[in-house]
Amino acid sequence: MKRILIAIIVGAFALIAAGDELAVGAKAPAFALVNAVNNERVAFAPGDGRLSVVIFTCNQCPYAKAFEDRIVALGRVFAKKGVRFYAIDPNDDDAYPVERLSEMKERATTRNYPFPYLKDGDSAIARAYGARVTPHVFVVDGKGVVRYRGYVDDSAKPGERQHTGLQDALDALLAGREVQQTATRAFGCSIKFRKTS
Amino acid sequence: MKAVALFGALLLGTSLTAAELPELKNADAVKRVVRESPRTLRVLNLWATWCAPCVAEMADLRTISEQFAEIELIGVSLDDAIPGDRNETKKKVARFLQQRQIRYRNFYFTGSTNDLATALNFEGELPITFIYDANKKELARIQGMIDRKDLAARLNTFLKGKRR
Repeated sequence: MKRILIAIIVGAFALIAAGDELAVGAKAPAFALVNAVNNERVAFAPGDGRLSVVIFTCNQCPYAKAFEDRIVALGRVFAKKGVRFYAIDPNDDDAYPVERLSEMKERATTRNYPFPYLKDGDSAIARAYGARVTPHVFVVDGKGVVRYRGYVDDSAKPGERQHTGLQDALDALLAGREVQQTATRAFGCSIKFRKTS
Repeated sequence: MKAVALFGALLLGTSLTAAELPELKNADAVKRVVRESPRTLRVLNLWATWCAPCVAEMADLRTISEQFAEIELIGVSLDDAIPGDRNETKKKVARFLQQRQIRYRNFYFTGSTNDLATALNFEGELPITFIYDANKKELARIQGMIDRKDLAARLNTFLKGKRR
């Protein structure tokens, strides 16, 4: 009995700790989160036939903010090609008030986000995807399978970009080609996970 | 003359200027600094002023650097990863180090963070702290904020192992 109890405790800890980054080829977890812009719940059901991009980002991280214009531009371009973008803020907004829904709404509306900006209030979705930093990107194909994960680009400086990871992945998948580099190292601010009790 | 000024700045911990914050242009340069350290153990800390946990652990790293004579703490700022005026960012980093009286060696990285992450095999999350021995062997790494007591205990263990 004692062993079972220990196993349950260890298992529970593994679940609440930041998980391993979702592997390319894995099934993407579904979610339903509140969009800060209009307080409506937005559901993502992987496998519904549409190519989707899940981006963990936030309000406070200068590195994530350096990518904001790029992500918005990609969101606009690829929306016309049928790709959905979901921006998710997983940071603990009690510890960091700048991550509250009201602040998220202001950010998304003043910058005219062409995609929902969702609050992952208990950081559960970030844990489920194994996201570690902002920005951290996952591309999910129409079957609900992760086809790319990692950075948006290998540099936040437009003049120093050598690999446009997200754009290349979307271009390849839309053209029916294999993604050349399916996994890259997302660089940025650590996600401020909400502590679980 | 420059070396004298740098030594003086490190000694006093009050007058490090942006011009005196050495730049490292690529991952090889970072590895070289670690490799060429004369100390028994080398602790490499990658950080940025915009990284809250990096800033939060800085005082503890300073304490560690002052606590162990056989260890060199080497800080590498990745502030340059964000677009902006390099000179201004360097000034900001130098000012930050000066205000916090960080006397251990610090460098300003101007290369590709992606290349650095690949070279050191880390996943791109700051802060990260590596412990190397004199043979370039990585003994441990701490992803995220350090725990000062835990790091000190680990360093003591590694040092005991080296003295045997």
